[in-house]
Amino acid sequence: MSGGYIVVEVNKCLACKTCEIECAIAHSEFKDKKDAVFKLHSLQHRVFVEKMKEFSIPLQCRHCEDAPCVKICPTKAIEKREIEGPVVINESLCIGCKRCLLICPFGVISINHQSRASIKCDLCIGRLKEGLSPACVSGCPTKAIKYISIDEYNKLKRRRVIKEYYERVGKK
Amino acid sequence: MNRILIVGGGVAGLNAAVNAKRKDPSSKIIIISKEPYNAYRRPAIPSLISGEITDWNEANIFPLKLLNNLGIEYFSGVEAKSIDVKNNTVVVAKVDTNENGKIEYDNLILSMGGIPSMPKISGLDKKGICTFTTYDSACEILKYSKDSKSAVVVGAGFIGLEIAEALLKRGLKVYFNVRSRILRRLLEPDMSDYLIKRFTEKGLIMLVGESISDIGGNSRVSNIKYKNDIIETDMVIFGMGVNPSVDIVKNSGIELGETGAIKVNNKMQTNIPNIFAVGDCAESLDLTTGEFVYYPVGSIAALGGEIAGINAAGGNIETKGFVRAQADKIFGEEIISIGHSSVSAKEVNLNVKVVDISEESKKFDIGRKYPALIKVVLTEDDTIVGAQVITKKYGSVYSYGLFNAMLNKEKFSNFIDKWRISLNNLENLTL
Amino acid sequence: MKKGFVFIYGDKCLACKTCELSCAVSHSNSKELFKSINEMPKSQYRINVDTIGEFSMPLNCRHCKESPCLKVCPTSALFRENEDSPVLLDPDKCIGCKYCILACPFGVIKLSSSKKAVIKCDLCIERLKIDELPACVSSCPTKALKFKPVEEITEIDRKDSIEYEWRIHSSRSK
Repeated sequence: MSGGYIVVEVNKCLACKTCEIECAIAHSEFKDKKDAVFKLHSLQHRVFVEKMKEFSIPLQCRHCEDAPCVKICPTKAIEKREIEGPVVINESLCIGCKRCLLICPFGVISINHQSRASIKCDLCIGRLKEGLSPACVSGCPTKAIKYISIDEYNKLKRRRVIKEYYERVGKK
Repeated sequence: MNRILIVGGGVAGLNAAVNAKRKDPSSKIIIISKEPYNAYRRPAIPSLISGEITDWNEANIFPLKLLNNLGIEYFSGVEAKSIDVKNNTVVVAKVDTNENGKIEYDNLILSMGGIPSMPKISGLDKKGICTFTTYDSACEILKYSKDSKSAVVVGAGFIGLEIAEALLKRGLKVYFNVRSRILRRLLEPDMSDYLIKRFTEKGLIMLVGESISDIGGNSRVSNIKYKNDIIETDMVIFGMGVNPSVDIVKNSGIELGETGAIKVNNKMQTNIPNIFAVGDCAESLDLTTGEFVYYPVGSIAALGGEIAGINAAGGNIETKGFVRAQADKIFGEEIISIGHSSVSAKEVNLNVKVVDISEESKKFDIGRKYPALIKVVLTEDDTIVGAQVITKKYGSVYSYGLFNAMLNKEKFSNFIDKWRISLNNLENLTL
Repeated sequence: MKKGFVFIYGDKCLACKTCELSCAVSHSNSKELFKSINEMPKSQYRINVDTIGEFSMPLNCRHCKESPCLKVCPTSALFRENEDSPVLLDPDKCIGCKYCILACPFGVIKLSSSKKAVIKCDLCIERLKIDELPACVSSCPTKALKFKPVEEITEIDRKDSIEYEWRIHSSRSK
């Protein structure tokens, strides 16, 4: 799986927070819920579900094309290698200065409790390499979070517009 | 071949090394570091004290393998003893054996860091008196915390507060002493007040208004004197900031600035053309005022290191200066401070006024859900030179726009009319 | 300066994609077909023709009155002068967060292949300034795309075009 992006649909989000749990487990040393349950306090999720008044939304890194965090990092520990690709923090170069944390326009960078490096959604690149979709995507019960390329996503929307138009106008 | 010697293996020295190599791959680069460990992330020290990590390896940065692959040599446990500016040599000694040696250089980068500031009171030689700028000193804190019922933390920077939080988690009674207020140079007074209230609610016992005046006890600390009270305690941790580590610079011919730190220009060069200085041992250039100030902050050390590294390797880049930008999360409160505060502005003779825009943030969806305390610091002509945010979550949605406004030297009236953040109108994100 | 909007009459669309081609060419440096295909970076089209079975339609930015993309942009890279002007993008302010792409109901914003930003229809504002029609409108052989000046937008226009479902320019109708 490659060349994808995480899209969110607020009208499908139930605020069940399954994505948070799946994210935390996928980034822990326990890849299994059963073991992870005993060390819940040490797990950190990188997607944050916010329940607003009329809708809920999972918030995570947008993997910006011109990411402010990439530009501000003093040691160039944060990298974006390709268009529509993930923005990834290289922990071994992260000095924990938190400049990226305070520049993120979405507030989705946090601090690893143990190592005090900065952490954020990494598009589950480890899982992608194994042919799996990101943990939040596969865990979401309503498919409010999808992993899809921008092109495909746009096509889906445009096709729906066409369908609705022709349903009203009738055949040519 | 350009031989670059870097004294001090903290983030300033490490970033200098990596950037020097990138600039001139044929250069020979040596880093010597007094501490007997490979490079570690200093902000992880509170994790050691809380028990979340047990070894410096869990916070290793710029690992030896990476440095060696780049062709950079890193010698831990080696200390610089003196600098011979005329002959381009540094006398070094192994810390454990005191074996001496000399290293010749073509370019020298000084990044020795800082030494914890200590007050002028008696009793500092007792057991249980701690500092926390190094891994070893953090291990001392951990050791003493295991047989202590209470601790007094003196000085309120971010790391001191994190350590107080860590000790509280360990079950100690924790007193927090500040002469005036919390995070005085980073936050406006009412922001400090807010935090004092919150931290007290979380169990920290605040001793605010005066420094502790006396340390009592025999060989081990057993009490401190605060105002007229004697408070029993088993350990005292001093986090009153750092002073530049410049002992080896004295009498070398390298000049110190008015702040007491090593004087540099906008290329991180000292008065000696082939000697550079960066990080907590040196002064740095403030972008807003063009003044040289003393900013012992990790990110500024790394940014300075980049410049020094490039220039030591034959580059010629000048910096316009740095913007202080710090953040942390303590007791569930996100605290962000960028640019100048009213206190730091005074130190560089900058006339400023402070505007509170906490109410304005309520026009955004996320600002209504998580109230935020937001201050903007302005010069007399309305230019934004600083900002501070305290909130439970997503504080950076505000600091992002404010930081950019600062870099663009925007006027406040222009900024506030067009102020937008990301976490607003999100109901539109749907298929 | 022409002021108005492009209306889409899908039932006239042949899916010939002339609009895509002329959109790309008109946004290139040379503005000429055979020169522009060799330009680096290559110009991108901002209008998209899609086909479902026998039905096709071109879709470009609707320059919505209540534009969701504008509402979610964190940097004000998306902006407009007033409700009669197009929604424009300043690529220098764009950080490529793609929130606009998520918010757009029409799927007509995409990633720039040359800048670290998104890219979308600008209503050919440079052509409008010199009183020329948008490139897609001029080039469409069947008039599936029509430019309607603001004052002339009628109820019938709305009904026949895709605007009906979306009530995008509804308040401009007489």
